[in-house]
Amino acid sequence: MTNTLSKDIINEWGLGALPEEKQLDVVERLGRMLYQAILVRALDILSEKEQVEFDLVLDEDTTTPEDVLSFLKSKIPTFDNLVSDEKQNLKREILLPVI
Amino acid sequence: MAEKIQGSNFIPQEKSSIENMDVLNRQTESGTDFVAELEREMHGSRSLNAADMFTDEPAATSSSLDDTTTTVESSTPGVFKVSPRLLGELDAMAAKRSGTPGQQNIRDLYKNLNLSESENDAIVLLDEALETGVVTSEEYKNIFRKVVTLGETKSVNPSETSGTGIHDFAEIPNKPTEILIEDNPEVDHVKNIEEARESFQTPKEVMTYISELIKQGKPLGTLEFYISSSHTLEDALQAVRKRELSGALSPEEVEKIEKMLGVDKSKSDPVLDIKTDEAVTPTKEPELPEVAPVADMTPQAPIEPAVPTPQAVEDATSPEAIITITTKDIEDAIKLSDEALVALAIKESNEGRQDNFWEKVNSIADLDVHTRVVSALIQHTMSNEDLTETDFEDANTMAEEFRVPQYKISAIAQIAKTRLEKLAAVSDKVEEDSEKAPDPLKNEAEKLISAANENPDRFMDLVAEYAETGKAKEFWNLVDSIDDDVAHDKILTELIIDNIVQNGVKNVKTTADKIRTPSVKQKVTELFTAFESKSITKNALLKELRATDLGQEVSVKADDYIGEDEFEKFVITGQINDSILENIADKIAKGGKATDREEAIYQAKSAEIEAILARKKAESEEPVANIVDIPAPAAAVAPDAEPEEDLPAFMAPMTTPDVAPIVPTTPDTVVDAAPVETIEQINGELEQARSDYAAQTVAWNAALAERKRKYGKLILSLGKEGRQMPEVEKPQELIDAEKAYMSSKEKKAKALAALAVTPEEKERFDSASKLTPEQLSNVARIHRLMDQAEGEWESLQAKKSELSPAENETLRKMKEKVGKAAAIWAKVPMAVRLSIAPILIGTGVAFTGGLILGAGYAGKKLVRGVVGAAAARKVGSWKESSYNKINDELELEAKEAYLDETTGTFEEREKRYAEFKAEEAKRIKNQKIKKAMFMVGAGAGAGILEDLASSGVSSGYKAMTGNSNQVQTPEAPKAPETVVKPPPATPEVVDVAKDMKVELSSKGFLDDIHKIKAEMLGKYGSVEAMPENLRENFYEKPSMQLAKDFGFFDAKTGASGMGLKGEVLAVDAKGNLVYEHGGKTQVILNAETGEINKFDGKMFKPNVSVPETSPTIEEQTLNTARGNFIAEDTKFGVGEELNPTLEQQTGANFREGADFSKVPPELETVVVPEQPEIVTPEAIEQAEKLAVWEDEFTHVSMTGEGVKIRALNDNFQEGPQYADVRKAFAENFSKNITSDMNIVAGQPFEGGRIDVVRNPSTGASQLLLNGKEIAKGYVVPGQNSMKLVETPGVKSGFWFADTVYERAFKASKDMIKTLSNNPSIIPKK
Repeated sequence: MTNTLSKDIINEWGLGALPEEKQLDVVERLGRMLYQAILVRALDILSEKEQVEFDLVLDEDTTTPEDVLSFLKSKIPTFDNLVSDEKQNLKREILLPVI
Repeated sequence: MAEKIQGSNFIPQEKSSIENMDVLNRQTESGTDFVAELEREMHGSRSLNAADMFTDEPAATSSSLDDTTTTVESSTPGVFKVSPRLLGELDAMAAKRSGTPGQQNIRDLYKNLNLSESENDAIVLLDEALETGVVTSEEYKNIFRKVVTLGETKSVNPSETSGTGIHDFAEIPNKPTEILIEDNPEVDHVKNIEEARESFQTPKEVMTYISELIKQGKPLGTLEFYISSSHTLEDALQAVRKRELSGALSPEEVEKIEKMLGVDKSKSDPVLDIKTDEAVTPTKEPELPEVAPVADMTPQAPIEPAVPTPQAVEDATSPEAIITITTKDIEDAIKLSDEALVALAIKESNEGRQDNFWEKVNSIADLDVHTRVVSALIQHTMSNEDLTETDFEDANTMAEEFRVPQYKISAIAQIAKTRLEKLAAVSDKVEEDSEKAPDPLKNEAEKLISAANENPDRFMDLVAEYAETGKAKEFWNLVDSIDDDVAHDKILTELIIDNIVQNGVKNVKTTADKIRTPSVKQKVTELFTAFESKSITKNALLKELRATDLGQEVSVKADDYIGEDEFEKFVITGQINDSILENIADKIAKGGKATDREEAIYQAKSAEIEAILARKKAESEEPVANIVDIPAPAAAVAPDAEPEEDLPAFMAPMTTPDVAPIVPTTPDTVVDAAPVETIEQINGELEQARSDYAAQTVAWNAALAERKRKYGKLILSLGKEGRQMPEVEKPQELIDAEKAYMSSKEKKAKALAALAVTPEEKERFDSASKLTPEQLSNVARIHRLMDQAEGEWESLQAKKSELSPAENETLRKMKEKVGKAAAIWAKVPMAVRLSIAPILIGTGVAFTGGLILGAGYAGKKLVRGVVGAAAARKVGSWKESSYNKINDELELEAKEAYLDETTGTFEEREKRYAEFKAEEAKRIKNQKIKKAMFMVGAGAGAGILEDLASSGVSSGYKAMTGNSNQVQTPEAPKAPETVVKPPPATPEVVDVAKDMKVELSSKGFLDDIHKIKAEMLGKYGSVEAMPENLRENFYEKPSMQLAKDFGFFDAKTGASGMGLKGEVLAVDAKGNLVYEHGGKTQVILNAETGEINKFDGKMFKPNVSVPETSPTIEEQTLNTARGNFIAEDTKFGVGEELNPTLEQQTGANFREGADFSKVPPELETVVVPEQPEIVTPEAIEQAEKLAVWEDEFTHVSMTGEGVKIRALNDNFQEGPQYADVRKAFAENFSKNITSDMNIVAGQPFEGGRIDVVRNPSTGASQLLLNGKEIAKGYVVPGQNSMKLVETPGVKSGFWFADTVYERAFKASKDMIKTLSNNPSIIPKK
């Protein structure tokens, strides 16, 4: 199999010592946890009206995680910072160096 | 007159004490825009960047207008500025076009409008936008009106300085609110226009004339539109004259139109005068007598002229006038404009309500306005000719308020640059004066020390700069050189507290030793001792440290700390406290002047004091004894000494290794006095920290909720519903609690990381024993830490819920939303998740509402999947539509059919579902085209066409990389890992891709055949689009049959083909199925002729010794120790993988000579006709079939009640692809029940079965899903207490979709409820 994760990701998240299959498992789980953390933070920021809009997005059958994140990004000017913050928090939780 | 503003009031958090400054005066002074000049030097262009925020923008545009414009601008003493609200709307329009080319077009329009120097420019831009389809006619109309009525030439009182946005803000509050509302000429003008609506009719002859001009080729389409919809004569005239300015109309044509409109040019020009001077009477339209002059149209119009008298201007702009505005007026002012809000915020500041100042500034909703205000304040602060460190810090603090990160960074960089320049200038001056080059560091240090004596808190931030840059000695030199003991000790105490919060009670003793005030030092030392002896907790330690009253101690000056009693005792007895001797020695060492009492003591105790001095000197010269207890370097350190050492641990620059594997965190090998904590202690500490943090959070959330409620109410009342409340800074208590909580979590994580792998983890992560111990350890560790992180989060939420019912309700709502979002994550295929996750955790965020392509994941299929998924959502997404409903219904039917086992074999159902999906793509495409045609017909086609373009109906699309927000073309992938592929070809466009291939996997050829089929379907888009020969000879044939036909499996011998890692199964450009191995390409299936060339590689059987010549296989043994007849524990060469045998893939075969006596007696033959891959229809003896079940699919499990039962392996419990396995298991389940089991109820579930086992005497029961215990409790008459077991994997995460076990548990609730109420099954005792 070819290596499907970039070296940057592997290095940044300390996955070099894991077999490839396990790397993917971990990355998927990390992504899921970060996604969750972002959602929690974002919900604190959205206005009432935006929360209603967000509900509509979530209720749509065709909505994907990408849509969810895109929606939040469109509504929150500091979304990138938020993601960065949560990423650092997650790293600290799993004892990785925070840059 | 300009208002006075105290500089400190500009600064968030009230940190400064700079002198009063005059905003308006400074802004009009020359040189006040020096920062802007610097920015211009740096950037060199005029764009929406930090340079703009420093730039006195409107003033600049004003000057250019003087050069380039004519009538309108020259006669109007105002400047053009597009309304921020309009720009906000454009931004919203861009957001709606997210992910389409239209988004960029709108952004460009936004940018260009923002840079427009005149209304005419803006209108020209709008015209172009309409003509090029960037905006629809409706949008054009909307924008056009706002440009003309809201954003255009701004009226400025002739007596006031025309110009800047900053001035605008400052000037508005110069009049009382009532003046703003009732006396504002703009307001009157708007009222007049309102009155005139529907009363003005454009003469037909004008329309006819314009139509003729259009026929002649004049670009007057928009004029025709606008003039026909003008509500007033002046609107119409303005529109005409703008075309004259743009050259679309000649002066003669304008004159003719004006005559048609009844305008006499010899009279005053209503258009030009309307906004500047109401005293000018607009021309009355003689043919339209019902249109009253503007002045007369004003309801209850004030009789007095709107132009203020000089006295009125002076009154309105005087400080007294400002003071007349009450706080209550703020809400009214907000209704008018953000600028008014700003001005009133400044007023709040002037009146000493500093808290209100930034609250008001930060409540400015409009991003541009907010940016300009913050810029103005920074500019104002930096305009001080004699800038001090305080000014720079003030400016930096203000810069933190920018909402746009780039602005913030740019501003901070600019401030730093200016600061360095200032320092250099000071240096130069000193050099000139003294002819001796001063030490810049010393110069700066003096400033810092001076600042420290003024404000130690802020000094902390400044010295941190040295720490961050690794200048430890400079850092300690600065600290040590502080004369003021209070400031010095306060800094040290803060350092100690910070260090404890972040790193625990380590590395702080040396710092504590440097505390100068003896009593403070003694207290801190006692606290450490108490903590080390576990007399107090860490939180108590921190609390005590924070409570240390330094101010009180500081008042104990050298002359005072030797009290009367102490000194009298010394005089009488000659005895003195050692700490006093130490203190005197310290003072001597520093060259301090002794007091009388100190002198007397020194005379009597000189030997002892000298000994102390000698000891201290020796200590300062000795190397550090304890590497953990990092000391501060001595004050007299050579300036060129190594700068990297001796930083406080928490300030040490963080370094990241090139490769950062997850390394086991072992307990620190060098331990200072802090004892090693047990896991119980760590848990206790974490619980306390969690509780503290939860309490702080709940309190903060409650306060925040109240503020949000008020804000929402206010915003709603202003008709600005939906705005987010500006971010509010957290209180220090919450920040501290958060730090302590994070620190405790890290400590717990370190303890967990050091644990050994448990059997449960082994089972969870490596049931097949494929990992090395190191790999398993790493895998288990990171999952353990992630488990901890998730579990801790849930504990925190539970704690918060426990503390507050309101919080509980908030969490419930949040959980509902996040649960939905989590389900969305869970439902997408793993491949798609693996395309998103690396972007999220990677270096960039690329979720812009458009398409994303995984930066880290190169799987072609998934990339296509993402593109396809994104594309399929573009039309009609997020909205109910008839198309969606139809599609949903069809999709539901297809899914039901797919899952319905009675409708055919697995392969047949899979094929039908694939065909359905292909048809669906066609259908959706047609729907899109129909929708597009409909919308184009309505004049709104641009957007949807862009959607179509981006969705793959046309070839154009944009891709976002994971590393930046820049749009990349698919032809130019930047990184080798990033694979950017065009969207899948539509069914009509059949283009055989050359890269339709799969690398051999460890799952065997059968799996590879499945994958290449999936590749084909994805590539061709539908089964029908495949080449006929390839479809008939390959795609539609059962994979198992193909494996045999191609020679990958020999059913007679049970031998399987041996594939190696890196080899490829592919479809070439001719449609042939080829096998690339050993450097050659073998055509397995000739698509044209149907000819098959069988696999000619090595075949092997597990029970046959592996040839020694094999480069890859080191060992292959048959492990029968556990009755396992499948080869396992096979070891492969490094970097190589071996395709398992086909029998491993299918479980269909057996090993010659295997010991079947160990076949579990409870198993019998199972026929699974729908799934030949599981059990082939080959004539296999009974014992051979039984072998299939052992270990490969099932295992013996032990319930919590000690009942042994055979359970289906976890990996087969879920997924339609294993429904047949579950079915086979269920059919065989009766053989699985032993006499000591009492199954009282059961029901089918997803192909398998759920059973309830109950002990009749105790009522203890277990719920089994295909034999696996998933819940337990008691089922007794009328009630039950069954709960899910805590076995890993049974429960999903807090937010995420139910696991199959949770689904089964929910599905069984009715059964259990019925069961517990059924006396025939569970009799009442």
